Amino acid sequence: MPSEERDEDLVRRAVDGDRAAFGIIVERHERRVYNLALRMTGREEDARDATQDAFLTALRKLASFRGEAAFTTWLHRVTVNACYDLLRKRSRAPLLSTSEDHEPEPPAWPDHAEATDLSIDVQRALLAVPEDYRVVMILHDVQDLPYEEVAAIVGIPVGTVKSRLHRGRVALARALRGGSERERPEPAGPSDEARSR
Amino acid sequence: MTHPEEHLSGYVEGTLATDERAEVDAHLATCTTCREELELATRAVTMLRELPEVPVPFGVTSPVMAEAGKQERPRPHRAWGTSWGGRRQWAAGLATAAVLVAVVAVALPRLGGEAGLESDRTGAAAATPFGPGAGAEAALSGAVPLEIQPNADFDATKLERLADSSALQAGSDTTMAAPSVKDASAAQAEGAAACLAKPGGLTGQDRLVRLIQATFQGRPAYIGVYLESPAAGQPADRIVIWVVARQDCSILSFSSKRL
Repeated sequence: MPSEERDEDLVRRAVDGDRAAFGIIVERHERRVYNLALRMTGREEDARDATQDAFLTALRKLASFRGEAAFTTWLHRVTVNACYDLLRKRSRAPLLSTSEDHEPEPPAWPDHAEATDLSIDVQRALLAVPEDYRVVMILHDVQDLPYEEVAAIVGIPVGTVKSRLHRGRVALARALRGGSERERPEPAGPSDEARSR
Repeated sequence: MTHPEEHLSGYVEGTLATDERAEVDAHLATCTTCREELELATRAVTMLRELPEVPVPFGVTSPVMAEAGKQERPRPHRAWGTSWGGRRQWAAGLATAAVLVAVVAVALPRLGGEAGLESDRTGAAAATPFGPGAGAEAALSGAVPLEIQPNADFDATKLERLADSSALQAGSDTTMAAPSVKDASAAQAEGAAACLAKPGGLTGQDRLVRLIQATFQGRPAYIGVYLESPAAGQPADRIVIWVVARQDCSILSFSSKRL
C-alpha cells in the first residue's frame, strides 16, 4: 500500500502519537526488514523475532531519530542490531537446552515455490560466513544498497565494507563448494589477511 | 605482496574507474591467489543476487502494532481533520445501532466451517433475509456488507484463517460474495469502511472484499479484508487485513499475505 508521504514526515507524525503513521512505516519497510533478518539468521522463526524486535526498538526510539541519517539507514541499523542480539542469544542457547531444540535445518520457507534448492544452499553457506562479512553481503549483494549506505548502517568505513564484501564472497563460494574444503586451513590470500572484526 | 583488496569487490561488479581497473589487472597478472578469489567472488555475487525476496509471513508485525496501540497518546483533534467531531458522534450512534439492529450481513457458505467466524444470525435478521434493501443490490454493487460477529474475538491466528479463506474465495470467484442483505447495515457498512480508511494506509489499488464488526483481542473492532493490486488495472496479488478500533478508528493490527 504505497503512500506518497516521506518516511521522515511519517516519523514526525508517529512521534506525535499518530499510530496510523507508524502503521504505514511498518507496512512500507517490513519486507526489507524481514528479509534482512531472514538472511542474517537463516531461520523463519528467528527472522520473525528479529523483525518484531527491530520494529519494537524503532517504536521505542523513534523520538531519538533526529533525521541526521536517512530513516531507512537508521531502521536497517536497528534491524542489524536486533539480528546480532538474536544470534548472540541463540549461540548461548545450547548451554541451556538440548540440541534437538535447534534442529531441524534447513528453514521452512513460507513459500516453497520460491525456495529453490540453490537458494537453500546459498542460505546455508551464508550462515557459514562470519556475521560481519555476512551483513555487508546481504545489504549490498542481496538488498542492493550502495557501499556508502552499508557503511553508514554497519558503522564502518567504506573501504572496510569493500574488503569485507570481498572476503565474505570468497568465504561464501568456498562454503558452497562443500564441507570438506571448509575444514581445511585456507590458503594464504588477501581474504585471510588482516581479518579485522 | 600487497593485494588490492578494496578494489576486488568493485572489480567483480565492474564499477571500478579505468585507472583502478588497470591497477588491479596489473596485479592479477602476477597473483594467482587473487585470480582464484576473483573467480570465487564472481560466483558468489551471481548467486547472492539471485536469492529471492521471501514474502513476510502473515501477522509478523501484529504484535508491533498492538504495542504501538498501547503507547498512543491522545491525538489532537485536528489530526483527524474537520470530520472528527462528526465521526465521534457517528461512532457512538453506531455502537447503539449495533445493539439495537443487529443486522446480519451476508451468508458465506464457503466459510461455514470456520470456528468463531460465523455471522451472527439473529431472529430479526433471519426474519428479513431479503429486506427492503435487497432489491437495490445491483445499485449497490461494489458495496460490501458489514458482517456483525458479536461473539467472535479475533487474534493473529484467526486473522490468518480469515485471510486464507478470503484468498480462496478470491481465487474461486472474482466478483466475491455479493451482498445479500442491505437495508440498515448499508450505512453502518459505509461507516465501518470509512473508519478503516481513516488511518490513511489504503489506496485506490485496495479493493474491500469483506467487512467485519467483531472484537480484536477483546477490543471492539472493524476488520477489513482487501485485495491489493500492484497497480491500477492489474490483478490483485496480495490480501491485506486492517483492523481498527471501533472507538477511534486507530490501527490495532495490519497484516498482509501474498495471494
